[in-house]
Amino acid sequence: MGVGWPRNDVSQAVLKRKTFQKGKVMRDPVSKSHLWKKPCWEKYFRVKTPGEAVQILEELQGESRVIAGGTDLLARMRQEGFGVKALVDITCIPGLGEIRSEDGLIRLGAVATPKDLSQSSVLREKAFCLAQAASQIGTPQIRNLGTLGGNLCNASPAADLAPPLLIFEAKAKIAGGKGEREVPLDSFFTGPGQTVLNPSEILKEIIIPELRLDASATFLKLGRRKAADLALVSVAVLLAMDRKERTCQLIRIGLGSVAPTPIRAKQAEAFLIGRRLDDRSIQEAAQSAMRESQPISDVRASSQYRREMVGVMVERAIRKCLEQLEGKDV
Amino acid sequence: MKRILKLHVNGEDFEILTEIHKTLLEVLREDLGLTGTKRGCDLGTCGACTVLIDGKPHLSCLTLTADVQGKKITTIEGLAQDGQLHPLQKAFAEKGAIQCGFCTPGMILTAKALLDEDPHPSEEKVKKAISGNLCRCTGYVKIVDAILSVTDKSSES
Ligand SMILES: Cc1cc2nc3c(=O)[nH]c(=O)nc-3n(C[C@H](O)[C@H](O)[C@H](O)COP(=O)(O)OP(=O)(O)OC[C@H]3O[C@@H](n4cnc5c(N)ncnc54)[C@H](O)[C@@H]3O)c2cc1C
Repeated sequence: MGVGWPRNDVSQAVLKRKTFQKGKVMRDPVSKSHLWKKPCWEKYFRVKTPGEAVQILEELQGESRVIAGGTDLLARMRQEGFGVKALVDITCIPGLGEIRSEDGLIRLGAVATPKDLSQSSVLREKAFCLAQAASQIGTPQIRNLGTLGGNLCNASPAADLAPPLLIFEAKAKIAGGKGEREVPLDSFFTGPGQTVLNPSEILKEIIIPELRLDASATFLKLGRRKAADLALVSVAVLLAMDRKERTCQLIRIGLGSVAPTPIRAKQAEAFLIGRRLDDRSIQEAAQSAMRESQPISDVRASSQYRREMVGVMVERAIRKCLEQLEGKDV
Repeated sequence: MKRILKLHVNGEDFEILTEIHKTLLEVLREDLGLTGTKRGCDLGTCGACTVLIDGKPHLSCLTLTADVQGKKITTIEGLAQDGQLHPLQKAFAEKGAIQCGFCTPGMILTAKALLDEDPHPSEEKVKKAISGNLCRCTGYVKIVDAILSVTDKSSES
């Protein structure tokens, strides 16, 4: 030990700490981080059931907030300098991080981490593209700490787990004061940072319905570098086809980072369904997806570039699904 | 509001009277005086504040102290045993994998977690493992060399 504080001795540890700190507050002259407001709260509840969480959120309406991994919340509190009276930590609720396959459904607990998702044998077998998306979130450390629920409830347009879950037509199971409700993920997001959750509700679980065995799915993320970067554009595609005719039987296209919320490119889907999958139809679908996207310009990319890349990535993702289908024995 | 928090750091138990909203990074540095853990971006991006929690690399700047009670926390100060540097620490020094040294504690702890899980990782795996630890001096080559050199040694013995 560099500093040998006595074991189990509060008074001494605290005493020493005071002498240690006195007059020694050093600030980094370059970083502005010391100007950020310290996140502050008075109460921290580690709840053991969803019901308990909901009860506290209802009692402290407007003054409390759910915290899961905290990778979004703490960083935002620090940058924007807002505080709340109480935080409700849901990561200790037993079973809330489970990933199970049950009666054909896949159930994902809200506090499963991206690492859990990327390593899950259930997902690797049945919904590989979600595991792929999880393995590309942030950095190894962020993947150990963040959660599925946080990724979705934070409602960033760039949330990497959203496009794959959109194409699987997943449902969000929400617990609130009046019981539970299920909302299709398609209508879960209402704007940047906004969802259908009211302040005393929590997201409990994501349910993926039974998937067609003969369909293929792909997730592609375009970032500026391989690690620690949000998507400039992300695309998830689910495809099934009639093998003899090569016509498209099922197509779902999910897009991230190119609209106020993660979206489905429904016009592109409608265009392709029933059509023969060839260069021309795939390119036209990709162009339709470009028209449906409404990207913004920011420090990371211009809206023109993002839109252009929607076309490129949708085309690439459909072709990748096709390749996988052609390699698949049915 | 102050609370007594119980922490298990580098094999020792501590009880600390501190603000409950403090991050693990703040408690390690300010309350325990373990300044080997660095504050870089304070936003979870740079990895300088990486510590091991139950053996896995975690960002102490985004970890609330109240949350890690009862868990095993390892900081860079906990690696040397009986006055002997950990093989990774030695390798970093010998291979010149340190320049300013700010990323080093986090880098070494991340590498330790990797080697504990997989004693013989490929170069690619090493690169992926440290992808959340930013270094602005060395260009990573010597860091990767240093980590790989430790895996060579253990395979010889
Ligand atoms: C360096 C860095 C890199 C990142 N890279 C990526 C990336 O590549 N891709 C990506 O998609 N994201 C990325 N993120 C964002 C973030 O890590 C993920 O979105 C993560 O999954 C959020 O989960 P969390 O548990 O940490 O959320 P928290 O911060 O705990 O919560 C986020 C929000 O959701 C609410 N909330 C959380 N869980 C629930 C619930 N069950 N019910 C109701 N409300 C809830 C909280 O109140 C809060 O408002 C990155 C973040 C950092 C710091």
